[in-house]
Amino acid sequence: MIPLVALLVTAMATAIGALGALFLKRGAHHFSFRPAKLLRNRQLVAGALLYAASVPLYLYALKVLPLAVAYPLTSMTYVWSALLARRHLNEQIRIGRWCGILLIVAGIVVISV
Amino acid sequence: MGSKAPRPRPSEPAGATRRAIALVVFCTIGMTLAQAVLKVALSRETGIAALVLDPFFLAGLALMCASGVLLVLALRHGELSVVHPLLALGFVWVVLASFAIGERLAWKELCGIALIMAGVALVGRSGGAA
Repeated sequence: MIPLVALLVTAMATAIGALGALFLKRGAHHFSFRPAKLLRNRQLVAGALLYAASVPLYLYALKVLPLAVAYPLTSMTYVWSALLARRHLNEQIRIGRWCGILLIVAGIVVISV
Repeated sequence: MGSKAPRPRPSEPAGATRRAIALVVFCTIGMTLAQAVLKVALSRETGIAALVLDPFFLAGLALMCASGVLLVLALRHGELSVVHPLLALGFVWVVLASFAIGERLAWKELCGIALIMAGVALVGRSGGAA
């Protein structure tokens, strides 16, 4: 029996990870190796913090859920980030790219189940 | 976040996408190496004090940071919906590395990385990198 809470936490981790990627993308255009500039890049810092926040959630998921459930769930993050990219970055995602993303998700499912 | 209307931005040019893909490839290799090195360091079960002086642990952290920088540089050149799914290449490197150290590959692993590589090719082409 798989605890529902664990599934929700995992789904949250994938959403937070995708949000982190969105903010990293927004901050990436002002990336600099100078520490002072790096820390003032709010989008980049927010992205890094969101990514960091998703890590303990993922670790919890991997601990509580069977790998055959946890890994396929984590691959959902690529679907969320594509939806976020379309909504907030105006990226045009045509059928080919969606098929590619779904093949990647399918591959992760096949490896882990 | 939804308060500001998104700025219309044209798709990234093909050359930028190619650069982004190359950066993600190195990023995922770095992350896979980092995981392997960190696993060695963490499996030694010494104390925290010994861990922060462990060259494997430090190398793992350095690789993680370098991969993070590569990811940000990749995101600067490529679209998010191209760069992010390509991070799944990490799975491919793990399977190939386990083959390289003499582990037998199961059919599902071969099929899985074939699917991932087909997906990566489609996503890469969709960004104009073909």
